[in-house]
Amino acid sequence: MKSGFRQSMAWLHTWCGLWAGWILFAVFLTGTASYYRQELSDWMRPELHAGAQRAEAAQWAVTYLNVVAPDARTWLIELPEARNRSLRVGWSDRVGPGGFTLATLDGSGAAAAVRKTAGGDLFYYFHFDLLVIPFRLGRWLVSLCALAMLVTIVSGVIIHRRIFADFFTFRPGKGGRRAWLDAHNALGVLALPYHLMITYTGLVTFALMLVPYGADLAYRGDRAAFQAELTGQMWPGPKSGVAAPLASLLPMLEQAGRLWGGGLPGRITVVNPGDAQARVLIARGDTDRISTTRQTVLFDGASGRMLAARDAGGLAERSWGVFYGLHLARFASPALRALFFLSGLAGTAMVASGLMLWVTKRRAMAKLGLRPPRGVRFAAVLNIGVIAGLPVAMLALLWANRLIPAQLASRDRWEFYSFFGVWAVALLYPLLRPNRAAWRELFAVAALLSGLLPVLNALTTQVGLNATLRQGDWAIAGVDLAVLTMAPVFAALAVRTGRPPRSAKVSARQVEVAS
Amino acid sequence: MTLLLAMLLSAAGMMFLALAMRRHWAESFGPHARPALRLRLAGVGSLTGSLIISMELWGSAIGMVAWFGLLSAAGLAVILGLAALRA
Repeated sequence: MKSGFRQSMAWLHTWCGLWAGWILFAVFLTGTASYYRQELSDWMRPELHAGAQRAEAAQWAVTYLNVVAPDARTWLIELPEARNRSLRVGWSDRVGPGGFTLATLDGSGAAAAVRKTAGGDLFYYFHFDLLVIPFRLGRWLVSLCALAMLVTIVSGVIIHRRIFADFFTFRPGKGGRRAWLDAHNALGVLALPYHLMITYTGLVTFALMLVPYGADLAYRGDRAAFQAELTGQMWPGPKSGVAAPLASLLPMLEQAGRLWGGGLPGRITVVNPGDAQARVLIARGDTDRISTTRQTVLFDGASGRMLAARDAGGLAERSWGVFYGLHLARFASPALRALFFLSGLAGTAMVASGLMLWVTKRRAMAKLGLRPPRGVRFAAVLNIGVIAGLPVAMLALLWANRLIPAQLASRDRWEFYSFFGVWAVALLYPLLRPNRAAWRELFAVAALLSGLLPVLNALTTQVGLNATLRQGDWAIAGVDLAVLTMAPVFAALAVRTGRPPRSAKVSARQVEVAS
Repeated sequence: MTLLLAMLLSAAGMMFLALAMRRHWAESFGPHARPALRLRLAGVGSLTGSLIISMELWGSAIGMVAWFGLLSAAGLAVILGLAALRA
């Protein structure tokens, strides 16, 4: 520990930031991509057609489930919405929550021959549990890193001496440490409300896992009971054994919508379908409001009569709903979503510039003849493998989605392997190459992958840019266009990182040797 | 259209606030005298305007969230603009 408040805060900022930084970068980047999770999922299922009507879709789902799982205990129906063209259904024989077999239906009602893919969900799940086994370990790791992020943000504000004077300062011309510090400060300060919001709300999402003590004490360790009460689950009783057809869902959906003042219904749960004791639970969607609190209406499945309605409960639940909703941003319209995406990119770049700063600073120390601390080479290699390697791996997933045959049974597993396989190679690659070459080559690969992805898409599917632009299918065209826009950015990064720093050409080699 | 107006106002607000600072004013206009107070007022006024418009556009709750996003985006644009001016 150093003496002095600012020094000790700087120490905290440096080391919390460094150790959490690599995971945080991955969490920020995949989380930012998850703002377009639905669009990515649609892009990765090119067989789906747009334009399913919600009302018809509900009937199609019931028809389908009646054939596939007439005796199930629970049916689950997720209706298509503006940003999600697939109709998702599920069925489970378990009494109580969970145990669902899920299927994706085409908007046209049949169980479409949709390719098996994780879709945008892979990035989404990765961003909070890193897809490691056991998933609890991943969630704890991400939560600890988010905690470190919160510490880093607060200590960062404290050690930033000229937070207002340098508000608009960015001097890339000065090169090296100065430029990285400027970028780090500018990205951190400008999107500070976003960084605080996203980190804090992310932690709140896992509140029950991180600090379960209060709930455990009050509910004597029965977390299922706590969850049920928190989310207002109304689990109906067992089947009566008397068969009765399910009433039409349409009037129920309309009644629920009226009750919410025009709010859109989201998920439909049918318990005991085909039985006289059937119950239909309609939950409000969260695309038209910030909060994700559960508002549900319960209907008698056989008669279609409304039995009960539940609104947001106490203050705790309502604030939790707003925090969670802010983090997910499902309420965001296209323009607002773009702003969230931009802020997310700023956060990603802030973490990356902090990691770069750590290495640059220590290299500069070496140049002055001071002994550089151990681990500089380790950090430099990890920086390349994570900052340049992860985008390559993410693009590789999109490529794998188009290249792996659509009919292959285990193709979703191969997509998974291609993401992690490519990332593993990218993490090892900088060990074999000089730093600058590794930066340049990985970014060049990213530029090629992103530049050629729309071409690959047009060659292998019916939803290439030529078709989607003409039809005005912006969800899918948007993914192509966004990836295409990244190509020149990656190319510029490849050129920039491949160039030796302007200020110190001679001593750069000495630093390489020294580290 | 209103969205465009909100974006323009937030960008203008950030630009006025930047120009109210000696360093950035000197970079853009050289040694001429700097009307600091008026620039600051114009900046605060424009940002308030963009807040009002985004609350009008998205409702007060979501509008507030969106306004912070607009400010970040506008700030980034001004920073990149100033850096490009210097290069």
